[in-house]
Amino acid sequence: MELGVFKSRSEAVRALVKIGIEELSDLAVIVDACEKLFELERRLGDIPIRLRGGFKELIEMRERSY
Amino acid sequence: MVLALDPSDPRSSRAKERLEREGYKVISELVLVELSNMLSKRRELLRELSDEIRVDEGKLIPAILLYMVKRFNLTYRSTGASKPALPGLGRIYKPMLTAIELSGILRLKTLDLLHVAYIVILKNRGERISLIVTGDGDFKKAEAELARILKINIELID
Repeated sequence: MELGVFKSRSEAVRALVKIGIEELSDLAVIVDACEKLFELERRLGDIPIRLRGGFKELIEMRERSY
Repeated sequence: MVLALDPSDPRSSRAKERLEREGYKVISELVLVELSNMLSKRRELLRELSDEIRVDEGKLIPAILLYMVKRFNLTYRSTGASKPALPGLGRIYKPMLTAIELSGILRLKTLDLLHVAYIVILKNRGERISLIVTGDGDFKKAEAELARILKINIELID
């Protein structure tokens, strides 16, 4: 809820029941990793993900899909 | 998003500023797939981040996607895709059917066409989408048809 993944406790509970216990641990790991990425951004002062040359690569990938 | 994350492109900061601007910003699963694909090729980045935040590499890409969506206050919307029939052939995933239908109207590359198909589906489901913000100049080629037929405008980051 803190990250805004869920808007309310009841929404969170409904989602958790739906996905089941097995996937719950995955979700917890992913949300925790997401929080750590925000922490890393605060430490670095910038988004910690850099895709140097990524946009050109994306366009080339789309070109190949033609 | 890829443009905003690419420091080698001079438009990167403008893309980041545009993403950070307030407003209702919708993305589809195709945007997430393309971003995942770009991330998956950056093995070194993934290894470094995995070490830094101590998370299994297998969970890292979903975590980055969640981070990006939250970071830029984006709204992910599913198409809730059913599987209608492609006349004479059988069932087909709805975005693909829509792309097929649009291919006669818009002269776009396959992936660009799929992006538009997702937008059309989301619009039909009531999402208030009227603008595509992109650095991909090819969308400009279909600008007139997009505006006239689908009521979608293009904002090119250049």
